[in-house]
Amino acid sequence: MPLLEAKRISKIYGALTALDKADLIVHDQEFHGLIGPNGSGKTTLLKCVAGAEFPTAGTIAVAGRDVTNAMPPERSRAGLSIKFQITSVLPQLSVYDNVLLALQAQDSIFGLMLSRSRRALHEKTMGLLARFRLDNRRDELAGVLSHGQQQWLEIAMALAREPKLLLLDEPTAGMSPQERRATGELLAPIKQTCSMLIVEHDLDFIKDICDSLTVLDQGQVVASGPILEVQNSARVKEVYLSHG
Amino acid sequence: MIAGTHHMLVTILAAIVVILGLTGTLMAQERILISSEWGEVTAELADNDAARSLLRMLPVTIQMRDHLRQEKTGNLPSPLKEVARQTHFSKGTLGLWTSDHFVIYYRDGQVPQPGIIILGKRPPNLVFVALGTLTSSYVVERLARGWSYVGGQNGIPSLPRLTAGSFELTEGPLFYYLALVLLALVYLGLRVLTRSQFGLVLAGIRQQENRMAFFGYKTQNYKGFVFCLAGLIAGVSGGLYAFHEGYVGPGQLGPVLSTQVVLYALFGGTGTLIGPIVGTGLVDLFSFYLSQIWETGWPIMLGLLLLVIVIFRPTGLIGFLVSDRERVGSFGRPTKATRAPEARHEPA
Repeated sequence: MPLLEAKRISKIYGALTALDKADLIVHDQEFHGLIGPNGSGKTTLLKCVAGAEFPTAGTIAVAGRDVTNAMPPERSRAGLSIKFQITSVLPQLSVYDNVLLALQAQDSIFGLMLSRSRRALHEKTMGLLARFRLDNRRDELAGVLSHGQQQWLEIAMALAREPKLLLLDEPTAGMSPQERRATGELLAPIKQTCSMLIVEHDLDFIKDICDSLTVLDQGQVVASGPILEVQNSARVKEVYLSHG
Repeated sequence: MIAGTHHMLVTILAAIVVILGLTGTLMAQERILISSEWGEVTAELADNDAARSLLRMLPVTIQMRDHLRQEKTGNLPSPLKEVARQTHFSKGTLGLWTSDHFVIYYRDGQVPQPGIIILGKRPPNLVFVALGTLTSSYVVERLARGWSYVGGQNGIPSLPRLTAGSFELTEGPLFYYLALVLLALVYLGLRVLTRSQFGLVLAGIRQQENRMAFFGYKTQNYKGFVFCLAGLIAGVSGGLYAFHEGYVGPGQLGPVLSTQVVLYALFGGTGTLIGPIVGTGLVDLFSFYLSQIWETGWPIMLGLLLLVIVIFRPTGLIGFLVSDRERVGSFGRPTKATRAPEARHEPA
């Protein structure tokens, strides 16, 4: 059974058809790339999966559970976690506290007042920070981190909930080439615990990190499958190269 | 526009565009943005299938007209799902009358059976909560002035003394120490609370409530708890005051004292615990000396002083001593021993 199965998803805004019967399948322990020119509907498809938008038609299932009409908290319980394009770390709190907030979200109010999970979560927090090379900046305010580091912090916070499927919306947008490369290195080890659906402009980044790929154009799936196969398809070359 | 024409033009078409207002974050409760020629408002959707089918319809433009001078109403492009109905509505309720008949109420009231489907409501604005608290204190003051049980205008004179067993606590040094001990206990308790993981959640809510809801925090519960806790502490201090003076009048219920408390906090420094304590002491000290210098006009001088502080030092007097970074503080440290040596200091 695939981890994520979105079938014949359509999304219509008035006269605009953003998505037209798009299919998307992500398997366990798979990094799946979603690419396409601007306005091809890739972010809309991601939002439909995340629950930030509801599709006009079609069904979405996570691990066999239908979440088409589920609200975001229910999707989160089904194992979805999302990092949006715009970073929304809490800028006035320390890097450490940002991650701790994500980790302790399931605790009861009473437990939090007594700081019961503080010790237990310290190890986890430090582990996540170390994994994203933020451990030496843990006492600084999240707002002073570089753009790339804020993106990493967001990914660390998204992973704090131990999701089955992490949705990333343009994780390398606005990053320097060095930060891009580092992001690829940081994400690779996650594959053992969680799958990922990545929307990206940067085809090279997708090639480096993803196992499979779906290409969208004008709301329709042009090609989908293992990365080498899709990459060499003539139709994809035409769509992607013609748009630059 | 004169009132008469306005009344005749009940079918003024207000083009209402309802668009998805999810600015990049996911929320526990979906919010939508309603824009029209008179401005923009956000509304929280109800948790039912009808609201969800409305969400899927967005963005949508509805032509609305006034109805019964209590609601704006218009037709949706297609019907919504049928769910349980209710007959009463309040100001700001979004409802559904027939299956495609969208209504926004701007008054409280009732509709006949079978009632309306509740689609959502406008969330209370923080300013409304603050103003509501102030006006309600005024209302309570007026009520107390007219209620003979609590002494009406005269208040309750000659309260019995505070006793512990057979021991009677009179005003004087002993009472002072009692108040001091209680202050210390409240201060320590709140210090532990604000630095706990709970305090971290509060700091997060202060910064980005929506983001906190996306983590799964039920922010309403946290805000409600803190509001009640603040009320509890104010209640304890009010009780002490009444025993100390041996008298309570209706004036103590009114907005004057409430405003004074806000000024104490602003003067000393909000965002810290020590700030309001320092503020209270200093404001009262200033009031005392100023009233000796200028017997009638001293409140004006005090007001000007407060104004200068709030304009030039929005963080209050304590802002001279601690940096912004220290005011926010750090929360999730297990113990000092596990902290890195370069770690910064905790707030004062």
